[in-house]
Amino acid sequence: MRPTHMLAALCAATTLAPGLSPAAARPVSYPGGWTLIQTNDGTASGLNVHFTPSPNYAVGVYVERNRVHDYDLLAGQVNWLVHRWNGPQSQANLYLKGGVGLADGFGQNAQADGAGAGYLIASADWETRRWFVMAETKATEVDGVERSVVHRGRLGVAPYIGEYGDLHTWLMLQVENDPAGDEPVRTTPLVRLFYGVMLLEAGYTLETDTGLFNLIWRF
Amino acid sequence: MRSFVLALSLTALSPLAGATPPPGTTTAQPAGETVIARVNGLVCDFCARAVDRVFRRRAEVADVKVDLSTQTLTFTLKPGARMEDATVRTLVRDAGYALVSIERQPAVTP
Repeated sequence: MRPTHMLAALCAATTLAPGLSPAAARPVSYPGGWTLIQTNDGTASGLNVHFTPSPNYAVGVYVERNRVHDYDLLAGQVNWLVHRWNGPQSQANLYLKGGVGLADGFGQNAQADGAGAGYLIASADWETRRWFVMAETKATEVDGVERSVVHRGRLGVAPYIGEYGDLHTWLMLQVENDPAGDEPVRTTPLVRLFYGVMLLEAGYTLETDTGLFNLIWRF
Repeated sequence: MRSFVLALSLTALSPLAGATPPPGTTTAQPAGETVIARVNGLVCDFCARAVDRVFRRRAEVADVKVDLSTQTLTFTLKPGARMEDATVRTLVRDAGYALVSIERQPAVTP
């Protein structure tokens, strides 16, 4: 078993439901902070562990099992906070995230052995204590296996305003546009909960009847 | 019987009476200066953990409180410790926020 397969299998095995959603809160933490991001949806499972050496960027490793294009990916990833706007009652962020690595195919792409892979994600968000809006575009190239551009948007509302230390709840609607996918538009209602340094998201994609489960742990 | 109940009551209350300081004295514990920093962008509990961590790991900081409603970070310094405004500004920026103002309350001495 190749290392990429082993890591991706481990990543998939540690999840409650299978896929990839890079809509992670805080891709850049505070200097000296570590973050573990585990993402799953109907298309892939991903695990990103990153370290933040400066307030503007984080470096880490990303492992993914992609079930749409049948490959396991191991990549080094850099998350760059391009700009942050801190307002009296709001915050907005612009991020660029990118990774390069190797992919090993399985199933329909079993011939892809050590294929070069790369992806670039541009992401912007704005939030208050009540509202959350996010837009994101991800471009992926896996040599001989995948070339895609996926757009994703989220709108969220907090049903109550929690204080610091409370359990916080968000109700969100995620819409994805994947022009080359079997389902070009995917809609996922989800619940985001966070308490302390843990964030959890659970949702259900209507068009594909698949679950979404994301977990973020900052330490 | 009344005197027995009275004696029992006095006995039961005596530890409390002993804990009560005589008039004119104070029980305040020594505490350092309190710094109240008003911060822009403090809207998310999960993200605000960063500012909590960044200040809490400083050796001169004794305690940290974050208030999302008032957008303030309040921290107490250890007795005798000092943190300059420029350092507070840098730490707030490192945590991902923008400092608006700083208010200081003097240290409490017994």
